Amino acid sequence: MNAIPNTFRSDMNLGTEPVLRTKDLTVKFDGFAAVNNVNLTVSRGELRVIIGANGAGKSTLLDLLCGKTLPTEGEVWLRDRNITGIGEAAIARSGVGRKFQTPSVFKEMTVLENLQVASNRRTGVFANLFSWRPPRPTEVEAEVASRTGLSGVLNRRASELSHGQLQWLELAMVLSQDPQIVLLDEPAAGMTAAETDKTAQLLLDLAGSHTVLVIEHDMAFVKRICRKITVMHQGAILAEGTASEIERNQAVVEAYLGSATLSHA
Amino acid sequence: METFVIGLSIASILFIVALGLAIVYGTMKVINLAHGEMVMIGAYVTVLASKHLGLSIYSCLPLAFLVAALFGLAIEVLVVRPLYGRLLDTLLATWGIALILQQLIRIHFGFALFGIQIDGLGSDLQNVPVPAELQQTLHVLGTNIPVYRTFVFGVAVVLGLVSWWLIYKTRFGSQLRAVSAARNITAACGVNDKRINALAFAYGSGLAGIAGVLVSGFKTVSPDMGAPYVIDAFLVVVAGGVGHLLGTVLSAGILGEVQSFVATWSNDVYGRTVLFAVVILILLFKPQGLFVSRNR
Amino acid sequence: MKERTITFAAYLLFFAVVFALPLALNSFWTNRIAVYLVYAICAVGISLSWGYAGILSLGQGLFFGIGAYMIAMSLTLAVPDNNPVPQFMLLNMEPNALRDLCCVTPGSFLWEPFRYLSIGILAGIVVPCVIAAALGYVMFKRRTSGVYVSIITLALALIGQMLIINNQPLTGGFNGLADLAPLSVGGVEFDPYGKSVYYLVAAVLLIVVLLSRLVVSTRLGHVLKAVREDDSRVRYLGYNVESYKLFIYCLSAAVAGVAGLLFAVTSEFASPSLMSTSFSISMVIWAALGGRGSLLGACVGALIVNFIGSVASENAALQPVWPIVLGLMFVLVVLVMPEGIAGIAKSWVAKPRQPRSLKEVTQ
Repeated sequence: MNAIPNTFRSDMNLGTEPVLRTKDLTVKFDGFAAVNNVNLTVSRGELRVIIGANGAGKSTLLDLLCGKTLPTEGEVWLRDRNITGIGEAAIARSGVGRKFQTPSVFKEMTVLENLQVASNRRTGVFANLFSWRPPRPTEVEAEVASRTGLSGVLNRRASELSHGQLQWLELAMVLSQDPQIVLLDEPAAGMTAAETDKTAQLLLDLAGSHTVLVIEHDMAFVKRICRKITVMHQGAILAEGTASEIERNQAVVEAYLGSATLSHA
Repeated sequence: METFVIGLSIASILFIVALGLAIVYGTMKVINLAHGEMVMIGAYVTVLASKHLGLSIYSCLPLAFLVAALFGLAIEVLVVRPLYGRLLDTLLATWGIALILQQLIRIHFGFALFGIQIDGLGSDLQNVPVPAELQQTLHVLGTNIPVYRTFVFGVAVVLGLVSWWLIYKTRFGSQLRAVSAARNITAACGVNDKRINALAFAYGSGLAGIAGVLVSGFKTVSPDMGAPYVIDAFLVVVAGGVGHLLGTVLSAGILGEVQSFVATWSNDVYGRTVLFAVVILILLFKPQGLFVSRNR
Repeated sequence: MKERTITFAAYLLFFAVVFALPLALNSFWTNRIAVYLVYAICAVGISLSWGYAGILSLGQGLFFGIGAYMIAMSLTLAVPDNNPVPQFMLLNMEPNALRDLCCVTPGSFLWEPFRYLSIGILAGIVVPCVIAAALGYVMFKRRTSGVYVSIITLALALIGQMLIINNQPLTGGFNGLADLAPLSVGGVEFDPYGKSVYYLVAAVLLIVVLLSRLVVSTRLGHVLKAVREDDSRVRYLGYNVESYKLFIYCLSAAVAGVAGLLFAVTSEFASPSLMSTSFSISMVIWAALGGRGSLLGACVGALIVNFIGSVASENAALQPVWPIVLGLMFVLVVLVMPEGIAGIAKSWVAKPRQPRSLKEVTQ
């Protein structure tokens, strides 16, 4: 049985039990270390934001976490399991859900069909050869749809949705899998002000019940949603702390002095 | 040694055909299955020009380039242009064009329907007279080297250099490379991407036309002669790494020699069998091409 | 709901016509149409892999040809003159070789099992499946996709064709295997020019279409649709995309193999030309004309193209122009009607759909 996503899996150790850990994670492209010796720990129920300038290695870090890129050195652990190099599909099944920066959903299919592909926990070929797609949404699917405001468009083709709705659909798809951790790559990119508001609200809503790791460079957005920030610079972690701690951090200020990332915050 | 020279000339033809295809596929992401028919057209230009105008193979080179380029231009404008971004569809549509072109030759451009036959066309096999000086055989270090094969090699070298200059040293070349890297941005910068594509397509087709002239010197000419070339050439392009001129040169060289040596050692069919097997392996295990270092 | 009814009616109409046709046909046309129904099975195979999973194989002829050769071997041995060894082998044998299948020509022992028709039939389905599985395993594991799949499959079919041409003493070479015995199962003899073979082919087509339809309407078909659109997204949702592609590719190879079996029965020969590039690409065009994403469309496409083609080749004035018309058809299908006949039919039928709300659906 699928658990309903917003129920707490455990009440203990909120904020202290690590869900995701990286050990000395490093990846080199032709000798250039895009991600360099990163040790990151994200705890249960946390809403963590990673910021950094273009090319700081944020997206590459996400690629490493979800298996898109193989690390040159180091390991990724999900709870007590080493998920390094087990393949994207296996990583996804073990509980890492990723939303990409540009909305990637199945545009030819309806919203409900998109959710059904995502929420289906039996991923084997033959399991699916001998089962039919139910015409109605399951409890989980209805729940994530209402959370993301898509309940009214379940039978609409994804190609007919607005950009914001597409982003939420992809988020809903990830949530419907009830992942251990949700990786979001610039969830508010390309959204209108109203849509950005809604997305921020959605993320705050998720925090606590879900462990979420967000990449973002819009500081205004970051400050609205965030408790703990990790700053990346040249592939390495530069600082970690609350928004105000980060803004006072000398190293961060030096690295980003005058750069748009923080000054515009 | 003789096998090596024969391999070199196979490689040269492969290279010229592949070069045109590399430009078309590498920069425009269009698979032109009618590319082989450009070779065929080049060969028929030679047949017709020598039969009716008494032109020699030398003067057929630029003529065939021109004719094939015009055909290429027409194909680009009429068929390929609406299909950019739909790779597999270009493959199907250009296959249709290949069928049409072959049949046009068979039915004498349609004149046969009215009972008019043009000498040199039709379904029959045709031959082209080769100038005496190219028919000789050189004796170097105790081996026989056919002059014609070296002539083919020479033309390939010249065309390779010209293409290199065109792509890397001219304004057209830099615009072409820009279009292939980022079409929309380049167009937004004021480059007429449609014109660039059309010219590149025409140039690539023209090269195949020249290859056709060269082929006609040592093989019989027939309407369906082109098809094998496009497949071989495409294999050369991907094996060498799409968009890498030097890779195309090397892979044409290697594949040509492999084919030639295996063919001498057993027979022609096995030569091609091994060639295809090698390329399948390359595509499977090094799809970015043999000579491209992998990044990301 | 309405769209579904119309689709069902279209299938019903198609098969009603197919099954009623022989009543109006002479033996020549019964045979011709039977062959086109075989081609329709091929097109269904293409539609499965290309239309539903985005895998465009240009080497489908290889599987078709293998299917044809496998049963043709059995049907060759069933001809009394070919006992103990096929005639063509005698022409190729060493002067003092033993006249027995074990050793008359190099490799002729491979023919031994084909004394049994059941093995010939089974091999015609299993061998394409095994080859597709082996090739597909490597291809999809290596994440080969798009045009590279097309080129690899095309090259493999060419290799198959050349190997057959080149091994004359074993395969009959360029001429292939001709003058086959008629298929005879359990005392029933299938006459290629009679209604028996026609109905055999039509029944197999019906089964293949129904089964394929069933497969694509399961959750598996649903996942495949997603794979066609964006396979990496599917992978990050936790699916082993490779296994899905492998499954549908093998299925389409098996379907092509079945078509090949029936082709040999209907046309009474198997030849290397079945593995040619142009034949493989033709299959794709049938599916494209009918509508790549529609099984029924693929059938209709195969029938239309081949029917017109055969009418044209009967007519002295049309015959030289037909390849040009065919070529134009390729170009126009791609340019003007990428969704094929089925797409056009759909847009006629479909009215603008009213988006239904969640409430309506859950009720």
